[in-house]
Amino acid sequence: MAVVTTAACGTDDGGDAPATTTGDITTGDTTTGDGRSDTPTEVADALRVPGDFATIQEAVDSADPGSLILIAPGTYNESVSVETPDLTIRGEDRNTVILDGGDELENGIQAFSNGTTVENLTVHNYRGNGVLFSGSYGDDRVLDGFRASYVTVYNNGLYGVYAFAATNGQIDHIYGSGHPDAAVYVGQCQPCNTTVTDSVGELNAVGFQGTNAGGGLIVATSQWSRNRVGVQSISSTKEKIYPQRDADFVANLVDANNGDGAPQATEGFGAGITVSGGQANRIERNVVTGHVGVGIIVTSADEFQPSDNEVRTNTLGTNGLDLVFATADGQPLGNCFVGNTFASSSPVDIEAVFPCDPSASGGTGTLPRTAPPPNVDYRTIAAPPPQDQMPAADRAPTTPARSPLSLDLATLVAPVPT
Amino acid sequence: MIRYRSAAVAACVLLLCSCSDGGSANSDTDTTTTTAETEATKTAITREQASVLADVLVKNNDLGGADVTATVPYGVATFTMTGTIDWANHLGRVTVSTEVSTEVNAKATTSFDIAFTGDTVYEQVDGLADALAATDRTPAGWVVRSLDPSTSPLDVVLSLLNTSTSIQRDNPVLLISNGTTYLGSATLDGVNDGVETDRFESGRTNFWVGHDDGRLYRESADLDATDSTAVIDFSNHGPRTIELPAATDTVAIDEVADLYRRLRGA
Repeated sequence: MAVVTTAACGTDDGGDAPATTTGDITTGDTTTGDGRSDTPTEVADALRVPGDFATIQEAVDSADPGSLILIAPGTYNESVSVETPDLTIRGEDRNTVILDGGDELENGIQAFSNGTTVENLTVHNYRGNGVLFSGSYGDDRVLDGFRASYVTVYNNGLYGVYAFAATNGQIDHIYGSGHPDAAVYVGQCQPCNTTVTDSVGELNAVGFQGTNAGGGLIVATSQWSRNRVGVQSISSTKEKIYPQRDADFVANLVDANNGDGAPQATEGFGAGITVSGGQANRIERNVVTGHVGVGIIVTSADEFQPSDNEVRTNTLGTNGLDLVFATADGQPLGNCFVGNTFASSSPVDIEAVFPCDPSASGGTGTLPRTAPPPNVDYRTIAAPPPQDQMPAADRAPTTPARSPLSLDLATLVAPVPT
Repeated sequence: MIRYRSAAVAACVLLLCSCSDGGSANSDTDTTTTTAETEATKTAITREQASVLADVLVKNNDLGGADVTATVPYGVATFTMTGTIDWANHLGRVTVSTEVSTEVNAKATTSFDIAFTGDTVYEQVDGLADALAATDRTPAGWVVRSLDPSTSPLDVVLSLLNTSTSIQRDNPVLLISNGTTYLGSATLDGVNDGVETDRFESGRTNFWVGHDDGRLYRESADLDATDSTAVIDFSNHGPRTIELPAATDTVAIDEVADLYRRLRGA
């Protein structure tokens, strides 16, 4: 379907081009050498909207690095752009502090500065993204430090929470629905040093997607259900720093991503977890059920062959095929499947032909063919029910967004169906 | 068939239209219409411009269709397509005229009709029905084949037409990140005489977008196969109804390969 002239495309600045960073941070009592703030801000010192400022943007524009902007319940029809480091934008109530783009505005909150935190609010009906963290918006900078926590995003025109060219991030307790692309997207980062945890994505084209994203990227303890595709990790020349490599997908509940009632981005549907052209990823202890196509698939993408991916100890059932490995030549290339609970695979007996040792003989599978469900206008998907509040939103001081969560992967357990 | 394509890939449809090599794909080879360029400076697009450009293909889908005029220089030949495209249903129908100019033969023109979908091409072949009937086969006026842009510049242009629509907005972040540039404003002549546009360059593809309405009026793309630039003008945007040839009037190209080559003069 893509035009022929793209068949062997690349970008001069793509591939293994090194990521640029913002430089070392020198910590101090209040601000760092580059103007960042490490000092927590108390709620008593918050800039209040609409108490002190009529709009969120006015508060942001007046804030010093490290400030807390506290938003009272209400509907705010604005697109907020953040270019001051270490701001925390917090809603007093997750379900009643609402940024509404009216299907006219581009992004709900777009952060181009390091250390931005967005928490405890709802963002919907923006034509672009709900919350965007991006270092590269016209240059090759990488944003350093971000957090989206207890945020509800729905019916935005692209992604719910979108981290692009950003590192040292924490995304947790997100609820995302009604996106014609991914509820949560992490792209073009190596290392990402980003955790995605305790989140829910449903009725999107994709629940979670990572493109050319790896190196400390962990997607865990989240539920990706009733999307067209649950979790997708892909290498692509359309973004820099390809191929995708070194991400962990651990203890997620991935269920019934068959596309019924979900908006469409591409032809893909009916798949739980897909690794397309990725390298050295670990897919472990996920519960993957109810897909008309395939539960977990490792395959190629464009010119990228998957290699050294490990699919371990996942529990699969009631999928068209539970486990699939599908490339043109079926060479193992270090990919392996071991210890999974499954009923079907292609090639058959996949753990015998792709064991995690040098004896792997390889082989290639085939995919079931099923007609895709019809597209759904993302703007028509019902608003989600109220979601859990951030603990102590009315009194918790800010925490600088500097790093991902520290996780012990061995102890993580997949959520139970809700 | 289940196809596991990246959502992000779909989100950057504009970027799919050509390779990004950092080269210059400018107006030097735009031969079909003249354009008054009021500004020649190439600048990185702004966030606002990226948002406008991100809307172009999905706007085409929403508009439904348009009239199409495409021109591709090809060695001593130039082929021109005129017809319509139904963006909403991924259908098109055009008349292809090939004009060859040589020292021996000052000008020779041939033409035939094509209908196409996202992956299939129907070619009308003069004399095919009679030739089939003469050999006691079921007469058919059209051959049907897969669309394969690797085989001909004709199919490259058909693919460009097919990918000039999308059900989803493009991604402004990627448009900026991947170096899309603004080439200034331009007043179109020719098919869309007098339309004020903003011109953007994405890789080796240029887009002329209506300044007032955000519609795609012209697209050009450098073609490796012909070492030339295809220029496509879109006009009279709106819904189209296109009928494909009846199944009873088509025959697979593999079944009539020799006849096809003889009748096409290939």
